Amino acid sequence: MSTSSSSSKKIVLKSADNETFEIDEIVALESQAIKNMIEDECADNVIPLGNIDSKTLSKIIEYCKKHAESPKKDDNADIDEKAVEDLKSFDAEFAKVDMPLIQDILMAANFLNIDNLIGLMCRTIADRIKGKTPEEIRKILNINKNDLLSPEQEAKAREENSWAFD
Amino acid sequence: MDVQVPALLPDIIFKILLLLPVDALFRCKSVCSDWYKLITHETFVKSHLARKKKCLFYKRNDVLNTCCVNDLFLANPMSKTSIHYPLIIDDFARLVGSANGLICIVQHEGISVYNPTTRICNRVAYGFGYDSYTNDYKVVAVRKSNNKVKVYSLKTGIWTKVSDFPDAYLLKDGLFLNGCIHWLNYLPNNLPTIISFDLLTETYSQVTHPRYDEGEKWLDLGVLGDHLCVLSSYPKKALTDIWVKDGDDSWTNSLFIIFDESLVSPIGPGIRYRLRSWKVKSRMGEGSSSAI
Repeated sequence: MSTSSSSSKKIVLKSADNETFEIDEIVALESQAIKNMIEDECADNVIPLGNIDSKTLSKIIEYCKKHAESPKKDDNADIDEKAVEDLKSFDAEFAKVDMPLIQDILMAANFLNIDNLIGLMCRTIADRIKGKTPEEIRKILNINKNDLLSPEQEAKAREENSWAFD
Repeated sequence: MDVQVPALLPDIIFKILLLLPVDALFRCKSVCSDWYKLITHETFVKSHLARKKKCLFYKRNDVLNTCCVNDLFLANPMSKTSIHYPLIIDDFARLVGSANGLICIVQHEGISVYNPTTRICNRVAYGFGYDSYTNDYKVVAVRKSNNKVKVYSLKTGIWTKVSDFPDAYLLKDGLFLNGCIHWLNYLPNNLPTIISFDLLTETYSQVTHPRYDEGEKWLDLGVLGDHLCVLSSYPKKALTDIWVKDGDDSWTNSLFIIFDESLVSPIGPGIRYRLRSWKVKSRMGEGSSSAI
């Protein structure tokens, strides 16, 4: 896998399942963690990402490419409105995946420290649990039932906020 | 779905929950005990509050309203919404101020600190009286939740805590008589109990009720001469019995009031009279009527 612009410096990322991804350095720099590694010169030719599988990593690279290509907000004051809209609709499309993948992307984005992507995934999850009951939320996020509220906590939560359950 | 997803990290969950509106957060409290702890934690509450838009609270035509401050600068700033409030807002009610989305209201029923978003109302009912033994005047403040009770002594100028107060839901300020302050305590699903708080010993006791008539009734406390009395009003009969306490457990009902139903407006569990329409009658002598 390679990108079109051959002149720029390349970075190779290796997923947990040993797939390699060659990307432009500018794309990799979207990740603050990789940026730090490059700046500290602790990045070899290949950066191993032992906790991110290839499916998740390819999604993350897709996101970083798009955002690296788009003009940054602080580049100039009168930023192209079309570009902003374009990025918005890209983000909206990007987030249309199932919940396990969203959670995987979120964990990986957190590890790689990609602020925008963390924000996008958090908003996506927040939107999906917004109008849901506690039971539905547990199901959506696959939350362990060993950690349910004590009967006292549950009663207190319900008593305080009975109107929120209407 | 059998896909095993690793649990989200606490700081990620923090970020997600921060994006939710308050009503959703309340449901989220019941998701699991980690979420409950996170949402009720002070750090989260403060972070969530910091994201809120500034709102203005105001009282107009006996209704509490809120309006987003930013909207005031719009051409049509009437994006106000009325807010749910558990007590009747009347002419007397005064909005003292607001801070961090909480509002403080002073009204007949006492001082309330109310959170319109969570609908939790912390009310403080008061009592004032004289303790002849120590020749001291005292103010008693009872907070609805946690039953925190404090007594202020005019002599020392100090508020002291009173432990051992019962579960209290006091809707009105207390009534002082013979060294004691009396309140009606509105516990849910029951006839209110009568609480008596002794200003000298700073202990409370419960007063036994008289034998009321059957049927729907509203109770109110009063003083007649040197005696505590309970006014029990029967809206269907358009009649109020005056029960006078003349001993430890003994009550007599010699007086009653006939009222014109149309002049009575129910305000919660109490009755408001137009004083001039009262007709007090005695069950003892001839049907003599007198004004109070």
